[in-house]
Amino acid sequence: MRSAHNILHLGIKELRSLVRDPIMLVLIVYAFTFSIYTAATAMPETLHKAPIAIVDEDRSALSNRIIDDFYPPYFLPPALITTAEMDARMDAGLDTFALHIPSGFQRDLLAGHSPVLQLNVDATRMSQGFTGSSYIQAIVSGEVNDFMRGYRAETAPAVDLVLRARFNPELDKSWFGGIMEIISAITMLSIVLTGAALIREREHGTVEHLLVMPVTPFEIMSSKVLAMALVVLAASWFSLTFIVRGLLAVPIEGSVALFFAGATLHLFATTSMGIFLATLARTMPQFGLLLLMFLLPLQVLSGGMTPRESMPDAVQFIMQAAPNTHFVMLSQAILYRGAGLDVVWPQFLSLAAIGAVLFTLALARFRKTLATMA
Amino acid sequence: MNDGRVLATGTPQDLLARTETRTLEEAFIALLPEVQREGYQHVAILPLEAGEETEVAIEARDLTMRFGSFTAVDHVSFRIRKGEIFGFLGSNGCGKTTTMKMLTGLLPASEGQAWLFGHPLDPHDIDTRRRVGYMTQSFSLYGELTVRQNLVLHARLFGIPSARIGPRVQEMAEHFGLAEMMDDLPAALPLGERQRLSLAVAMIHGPEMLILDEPTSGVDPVARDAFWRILIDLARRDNVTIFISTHFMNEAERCDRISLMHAGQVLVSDTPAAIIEKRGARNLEEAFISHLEEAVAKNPPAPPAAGAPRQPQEQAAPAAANLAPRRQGFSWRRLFSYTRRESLELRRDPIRLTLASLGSVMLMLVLGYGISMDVEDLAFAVLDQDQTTLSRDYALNLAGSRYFIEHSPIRNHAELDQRMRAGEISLSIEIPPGFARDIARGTPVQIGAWIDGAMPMRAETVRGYVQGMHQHWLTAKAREAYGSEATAGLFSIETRFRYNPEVTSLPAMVPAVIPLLLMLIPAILSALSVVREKELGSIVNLYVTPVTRLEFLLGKQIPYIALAMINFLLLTALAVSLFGVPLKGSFLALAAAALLYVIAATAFGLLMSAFVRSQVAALFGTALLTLLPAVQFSGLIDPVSTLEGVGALIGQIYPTTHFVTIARGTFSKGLGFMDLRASFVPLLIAVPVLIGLGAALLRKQER
Repeated sequence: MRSAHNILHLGIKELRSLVRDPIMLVLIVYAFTFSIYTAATAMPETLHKAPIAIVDEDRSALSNRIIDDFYPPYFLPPALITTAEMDARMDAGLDTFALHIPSGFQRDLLAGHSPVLQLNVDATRMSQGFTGSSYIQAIVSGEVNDFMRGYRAETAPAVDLVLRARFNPELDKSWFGGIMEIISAITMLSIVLTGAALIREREHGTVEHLLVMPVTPFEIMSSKVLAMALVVLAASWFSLTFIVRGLLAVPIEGSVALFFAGATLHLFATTSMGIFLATLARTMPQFGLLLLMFLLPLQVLSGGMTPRESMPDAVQFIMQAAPNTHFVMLSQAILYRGAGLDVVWPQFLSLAAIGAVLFTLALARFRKTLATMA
Repeated sequence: MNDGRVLATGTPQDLLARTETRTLEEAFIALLPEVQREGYQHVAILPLEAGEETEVAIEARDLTMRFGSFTAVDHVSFRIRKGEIFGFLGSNGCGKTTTMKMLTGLLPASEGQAWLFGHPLDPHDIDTRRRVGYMTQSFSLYGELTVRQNLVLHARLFGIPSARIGPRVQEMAEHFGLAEMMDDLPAALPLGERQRLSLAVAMIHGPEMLILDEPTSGVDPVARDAFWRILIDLARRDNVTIFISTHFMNEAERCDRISLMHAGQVLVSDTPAAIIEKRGARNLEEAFISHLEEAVAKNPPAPPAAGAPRQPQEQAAPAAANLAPRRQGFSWRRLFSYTRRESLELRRDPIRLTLASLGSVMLMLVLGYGISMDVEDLAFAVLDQDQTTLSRDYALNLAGSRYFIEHSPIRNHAELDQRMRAGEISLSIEIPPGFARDIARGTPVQIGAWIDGAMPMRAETVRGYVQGMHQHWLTAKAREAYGSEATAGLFSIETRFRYNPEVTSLPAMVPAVIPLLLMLIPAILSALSVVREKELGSIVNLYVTPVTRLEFLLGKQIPYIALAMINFLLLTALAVSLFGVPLKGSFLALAAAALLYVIAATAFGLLMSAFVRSQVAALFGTALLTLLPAVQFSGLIDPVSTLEGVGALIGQIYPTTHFVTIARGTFSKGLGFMDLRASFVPLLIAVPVLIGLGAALLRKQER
């Protein structure tokens, strides 16, 4: 009771401090509106406006038909270049693909000589290069097959593969980007706010003041965890409702309430992590560096950017301990696939466990470092 | 001086004579205009009534505090009676604060014991804390709460019942003369009023004891005397025990008893009069000096031990700047004085340095190995309604590749739905009944493939793989049926993956991770450098010295540029050695670009720093405005030309984009200056723009 009372009033104090920093408020609003909108709408389809150049030495009807096959949105209109320009343009990063059609291509094809086309791909642009080259193969084959129809009989068995994407039939990347961006913002803001709130008290000497009062470290820490989690929850609710569902028109399959229950557990873990980092750092610059060292791997390796299963086993294993991994999993399951608690309970359990461990660790460190803070 | 007017000028002796007072302080008060002097009375000290020896408020026996090999407090003992004003007099760093902190429980004593109200001191005893009020030399209340909010918060934390908080706060406000500024922020108040607020907060719960650590340092004499009248009132009327430290002699004289402290030891404890008398001195100051000389003669001061906590010397360096007569044009000397000071601070913080360099190495390892664009080991399962050799052959065709891993077969549609929702499988293949029979008959059949579209990028790749493998299976079947000549290709496409023939992630990612890290870390560090001074107050240097904004910013920037370049070398060495990504092109071009790039990155940090007002905002803002553009809009994963909307715009002007092009160009493509000149231009533009904006936004005046 006493404890709850203290936590409440210390929490209100945290919120008041935050309100006194208008630039910080503007940044929070930016993070949950503009930033999310930009990130979601910027994400291209895997193959989108890919720059391609074609060296057409054949100048036949067929080669012209092939050139005409490349158009937006998948490809930019092809640049028609000479063999000499090919390497320089690719070096400068102007083209991802360069297709070389040799002279006599159409003639050799009709004569059954199996002519060879050459496709150069800038493989430093991995995702585009890889998907794009298979698209180009398919486009050229299709064109060649059409051209040759009538010259040869169909030979392959009549088995059709019907491919359908579930949960996001058009594979619209903004659906994915919007939600993943909220997750990043939630993680980043919660760690920064709680950690910085503690360091700030320490740098201003106010923590010393709290410690001579009838207030326990548990109450000080809980007040920060609760106040900041509340701020982040409110911001993410706003963002999900108005930006993601409203502006971006991303359909949500599952229960939003369940998602926020998960978000609350996630915040419990990340805010505790913020406190923990703040007890490791002695000054704000140290905290800033520590923050990056934790935030970057959390964001990049949690499965929110690239698929988890493609990461090295060691990384997958270590990232099991990160709250983000589980939060990303449960968010994808709930929001896209409409999963219920019966499906995502393991993630809830993991988050609760990680949160409890982080909170305990942070509290122990906080108590221990109090002596050095004063 | 008072209220912007000079009251009187003259030599100190002159002033003393004119006003017929003993000390300059008294002279100052005598010279004040009538209105301000009104209500001022000489601080009258009521003697403490003797005979209450029985009640002891604080007792300390052999209290000792060691920091490493440095002894801050050395076997200090004293007893303070209830209602007594007990003073600690001593020079700075003599152990007064440390002793007080031990008594409040903030610091656990290395040795010795203390009792508060007869109970042994226990730092975890919440109830004792309610009986003590504490106030420190620095203002340590919440600057972002108003006077009233500070008072109310502390009242609540001390557990004063809600109904009584309002009246109590009002009472305190009146008693301490704060009534008119209840809704102001403490920063707007003069120091004397802030100290009264601190004392009001320390008194809010009506404690029986006050521990005051140099409460009046920096406060003008009138405010100080007013403060003391309140203290004496508290002690004599309310019987509050006051334990106060000071370095003002006239304040020490007002205490019932004082202890002279030096180098962690108590030299003497007695009433001020007795101390003066015993030494045969004219006043307390002489007595104190005489005690000090004796102590120093006995044991010459040891040089401060290495482990001793050092005070930050914020004001040290810009002394050089102060010497410059006037602000005139641009001065390298002033600029470098800030560079020296900033590097000094960096060098004093080895943890920050280590984090900055080791941190980037660690992040490079994590990101280099962790970010993988390869999509493999995808989980799939088959709903095989045909169960023939042919249908199993189709599934085996998929399972045999390195891209897919087959999970246990799906039994029905409900299970398919459930397992896909759980995200256990990202692809399910449905083979219809009569699959083998229909193929044999030549009847067209359809195989259904469901791809998990929750992650569009992965889904696209899966689609490509499945189509490829389906085609492969068809060709293989046709070959089995009709012989090889039937499927000889009409033509073939020979695909050459340039610069990265194995299409592996490492050579593509490593050169792109370097720009990412060289943006984030230098920007965060420099972003905190200016705002930190704003928040902690040392920014005053900028306001009062003739240094220009540009000199100040550039001076601060240089150490961070140097640090970032060291990081650059470290990361490049790591890329070549550990990751085995050869640097095929010109190192010089890469290094030149890196230098421009880190100047831009640190300038970006300083721009943030000049703009925001708190470290939290600087930290969050910088992370927000570097992480997203650098990770997503700069070609790290998706080429910038494919981006859409605002993201595309940001990507085109963001420095990281261009440095990624240069890094990939030099590392993977073997290029040099001439090939990459187009990418240098935006960097060359970004540097002056960012620095100029930073200087323009930085205020020379406090708001």
